[in-house]
Amino acid sequence: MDNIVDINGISKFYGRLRALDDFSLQIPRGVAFGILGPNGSGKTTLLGILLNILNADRGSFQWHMKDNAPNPRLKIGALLETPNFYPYLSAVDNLKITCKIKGSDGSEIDENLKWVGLYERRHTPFKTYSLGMRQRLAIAAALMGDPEVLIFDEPTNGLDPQGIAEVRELILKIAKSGKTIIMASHILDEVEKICSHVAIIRKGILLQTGTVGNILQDNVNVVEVSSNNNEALKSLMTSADFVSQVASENDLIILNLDKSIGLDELNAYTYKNGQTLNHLKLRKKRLEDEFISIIKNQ
Amino acid sequence: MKLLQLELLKFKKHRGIKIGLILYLLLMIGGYFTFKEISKFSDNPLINLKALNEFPMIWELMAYLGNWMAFIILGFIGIQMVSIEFSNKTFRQNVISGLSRRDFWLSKIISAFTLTLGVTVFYITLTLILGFVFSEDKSDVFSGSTGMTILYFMLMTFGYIIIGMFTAFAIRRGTAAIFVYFIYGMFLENFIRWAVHAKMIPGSISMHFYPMNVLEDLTPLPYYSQMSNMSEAPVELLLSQNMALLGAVVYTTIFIAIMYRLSVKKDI
Repeated sequence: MDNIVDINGISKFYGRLRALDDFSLQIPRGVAFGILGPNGSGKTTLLGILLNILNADRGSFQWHMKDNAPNPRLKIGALLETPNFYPYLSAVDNLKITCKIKGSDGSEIDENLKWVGLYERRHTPFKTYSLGMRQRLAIAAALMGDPEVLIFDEPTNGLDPQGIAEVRELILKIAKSGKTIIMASHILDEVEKICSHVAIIRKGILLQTGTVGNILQDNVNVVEVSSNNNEALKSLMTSADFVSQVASENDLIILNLDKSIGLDELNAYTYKNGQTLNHLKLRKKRLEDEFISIIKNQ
Repeated sequence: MKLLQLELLKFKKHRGIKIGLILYLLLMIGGYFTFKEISKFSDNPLINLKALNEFPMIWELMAYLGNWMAFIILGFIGIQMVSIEFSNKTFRQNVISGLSRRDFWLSKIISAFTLTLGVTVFYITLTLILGFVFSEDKSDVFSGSTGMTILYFMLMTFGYIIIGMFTAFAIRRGTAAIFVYFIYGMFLENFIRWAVHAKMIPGSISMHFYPMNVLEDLTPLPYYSQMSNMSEAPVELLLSQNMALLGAVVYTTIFIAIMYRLSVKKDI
């Protein structure tokens, strides 16, 4: 699979604070790529550098657009943090500006406004828009000029539940169209629903990258267990060397079980040590569990 | 051309800029008629104010009026054109959309230059109309220095717009930038020149080489140089227009270079 962007050893410092440290990453073409990390992990800094609004202190990156487009930046649509438009201009006038920058004739303005559900309000000034409408206009702007890559940074930030659902649906529609999407978020559920690939970063360092499937399989199995004496069971599991993490959740004990150990072996082990399980279930692993595990293990 | 069209899309519907431009046109016309009325009461034999209302001196009078209007209105427009981009973070958004930082500033310089050209064409047209209507002797439309007066007018206009833009670039917030621009232009620079510089380096014309003053001295009040010669001040009150020209070119270039350099180097 060829890459849409190669990032090579980028470092960025804010004074003495290290936002990115020798960061390298390759993002494949045509996938929805999630960049995960806690707040302050360097996600926005990375995207800011890729969009030329921040200057890297070291390292480089290179976009590889189709047909070797002379100015790759014009083939990128982006929504970085909050949408910024001219408040006294309407949606149409603001999009005309985006089109002029991108060298597009603006013929897709109406279509894109319909797509994001702003067509009825297309002549109203931007300053009268709600946050959800602003976000949707930003997505329409990002789609101008038929971009090859779309970059979204925390696209549902500050939105109400309905706004979150709307924006998420729009991004899913874009992802299905085959464009490359690069999306930074700390909302793991959002990334899991949209992205096929992820990179997990913390304190400016890449911890792990790959397909969501690989990331979920690479580590331990998450297993739910319980017995008549959960305290004793928990104590037993904590001392077992094939269990890396033990947590309580309501009446259940959640184990991070080494993937080399099967459920039947676990059952046999607990029985042999005096604990009869009345509940044993392999939990469908979620990115959130994996993310927390990776972050904690670093 | 693309960059100019981009600026037009941004500002053609901006109410403050539209009102500013209309005011500029009206006040230039109004300023002439006000001066014409005032000059009726002048009976100073050394300074013939009435001659200023007619060819060829009207060129200097209108350039002088244009100086005030450029300071007040075009400087304000320059501030608006840049502060809007910072206060709404649209500079950042333009770059995110794919505009290079170089092109962003080039578009500002091009629009400042285009505005200057438009205002200069208006100055020439208005001066010709008023001159032909109100001059008794219409045979002497141009003097030997009219061409230079037009050039000084252009540079002065461009200079005020660039200073306005630079102030907005430095301050970022529109209201604060307008406040700083007018306080500096009307009081602070004069205070520094006369209360600090003139005392530290007495008798030196270097006290006139300040940004606003070099622009002011490009198109001074007609007869001011004669009045200056009559004064007993220990230093010339006015820069020669060639000196002012040099100062204006240097300051304008420096301000543009600083805005461009910092915009490219700094994170946005």
